[in-house]
Amino acid sequence: MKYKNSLIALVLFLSAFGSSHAQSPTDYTALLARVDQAVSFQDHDLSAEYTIDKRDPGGAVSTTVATMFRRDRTGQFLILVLQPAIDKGKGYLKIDDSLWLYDPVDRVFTFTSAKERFQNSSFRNSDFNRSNFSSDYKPVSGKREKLGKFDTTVLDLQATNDKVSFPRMRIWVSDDNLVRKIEDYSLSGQLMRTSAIPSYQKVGDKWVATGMVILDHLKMKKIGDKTEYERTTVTIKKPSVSALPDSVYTKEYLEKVSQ
Amino acid sequence: MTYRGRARFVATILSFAATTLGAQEEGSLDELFSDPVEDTILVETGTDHLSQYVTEQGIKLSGSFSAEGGVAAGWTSWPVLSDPSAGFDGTIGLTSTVTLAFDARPDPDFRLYGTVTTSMDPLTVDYTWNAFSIDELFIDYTWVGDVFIRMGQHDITWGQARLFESITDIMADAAEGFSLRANLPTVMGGVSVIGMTNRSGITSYRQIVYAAKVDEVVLETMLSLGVRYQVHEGLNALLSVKRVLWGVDLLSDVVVHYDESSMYPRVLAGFFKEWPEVRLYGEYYYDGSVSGGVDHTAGLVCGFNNIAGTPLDLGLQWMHAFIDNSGSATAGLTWKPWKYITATLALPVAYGADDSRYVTTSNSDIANRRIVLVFGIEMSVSF
Repeated sequence: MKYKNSLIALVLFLSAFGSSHAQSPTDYTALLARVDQAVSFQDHDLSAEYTIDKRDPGGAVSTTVATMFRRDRTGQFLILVLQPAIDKGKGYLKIDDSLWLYDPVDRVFTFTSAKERFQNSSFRNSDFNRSNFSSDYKPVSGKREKLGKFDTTVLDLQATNDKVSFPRMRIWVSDDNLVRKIEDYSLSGQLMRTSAIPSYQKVGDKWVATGMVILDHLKMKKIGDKTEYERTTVTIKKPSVSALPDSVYTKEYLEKVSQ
Repeated sequence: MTYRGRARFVATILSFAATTLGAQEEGSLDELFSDPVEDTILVETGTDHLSQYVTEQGIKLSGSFSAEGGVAAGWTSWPVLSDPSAGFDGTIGLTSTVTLAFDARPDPDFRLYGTVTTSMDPLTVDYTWNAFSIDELFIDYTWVGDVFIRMGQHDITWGQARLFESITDIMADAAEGFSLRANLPTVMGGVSVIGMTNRSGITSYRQIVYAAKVDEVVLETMLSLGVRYQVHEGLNALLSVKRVLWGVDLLSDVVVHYDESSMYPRVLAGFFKEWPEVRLYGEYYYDGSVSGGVDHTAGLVCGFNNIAGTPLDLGLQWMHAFIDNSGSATAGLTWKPWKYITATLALPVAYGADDSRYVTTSNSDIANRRIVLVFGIEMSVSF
């Protein structure tokens, strides 16, 4: 009898646990929308200073400092490089899905894809974009998982268009709707990149990552018996939602302020 | 940000730095989540990130110095074993160049910028520096916030060619003239209107060069339409198209020239693909100004960074003119052994008939050698 009661209790517990955590694809889609909403600045411009430290496998470190100006409601951003000195004045202007690179030495604009690496680091130009999970991806499965101190929902995502940098992703979303970890995969399922966002900073009613650490699984080196990957650390400082003029997001403005 | 917020922020940075520097086996980042810094709530800082770019400043000076030296040896005709000295020619070169730039922004809406250059070639002229020449001298003025005006002597680049540079850049002569350019960036993808003088003795507005260009991105394709007219030159119209497909930049420029006696097209098509350590660039060019429609040229360039894990960069270039089946193939290595120093070793080979394009007029070697080995060292410093 005692055994039977225990079994019933266990079944009830498991069913209760299951009913409170099993989620439907619709729930996952809604979660993606909440994720986007938490970090998208639809009512304000966002500007911030980015410091990007790239450590090559083996140890060589390079640092880029850039200022980013972003307008989510129109899908625009402008990035101006401050360091290193040799790249000072270089600029990136994104309008919709188009990206213009400006080289202040040759004073030439180059039209290119927004998927490329930023300053040859694991951070991509598209990583400056507003979060757009709910439009670019559909959830194919999900589960609950503990990630360090965070209780998270893990979603496997599949791209709905070919504009995105990675056709498949796995994201860990904490219960406050913030993405804490991302794994980017190729179509064949190869792990390309892992990103960690352990903490955020809230500006107004929206969130901005405090920093990110990115491992590039395609850039690795065996050193002794250990494998080192290219590791990029991104630090985001002084976020501001002060309004910016429309002309900031233009090629002419980029040309004007580049030195 | 509060003191507590700042402390957390600093701790976050330090934890990132420690992780970055201390990590050994790096397949996972999960250790970052075991005890992360708490999320913080910031009071809006009101930081004006734009101000560092648009505030007024006094004159800022900058510049560069470079000194290049090298030796080149090769044959002006194909070498023959029976007489290796036939056609052999060796040269040396040495030149120094100094460029000074000044940039004054007395007001956020006004800027004066200029560069001057002098050089010395001690092997061919007296041991004196040339007089400084003005490369660029112009003002920028922002009118009513949204109209950007640049006036003076300055570069204007249209077209997208890299290998056949200046062939479809119908404004390439702007660097030698005086021009007034007004940009309206918020109209479509950007509109430029230009008036330029590129000759002396102008007495009538009819002798001025008039040009305009409109940029627009349509369906992820960059379209650019430019027109240039001068009464003696006739009309030149440029259509530039660029699109990125499957990670490859695809580009095309079409220039149509029209005057009272002729009308002909020039067409350029190209691609660019980049991998982490490799760049590949190709272009095809058709020059319709040559009668019979027979002037086709193609070029391919491939660059490899840090070949085989060494500090050497390798470049390969092939150019070919179909009109006379001449061309050039070049292999080059560069190495930066010390700060500011770059060493280059190159081997260009020109093939084709003796009077063909790449053996004569388009030969990259100033001595028109068929095959030449070049070694050069450059010191270049910017300040």
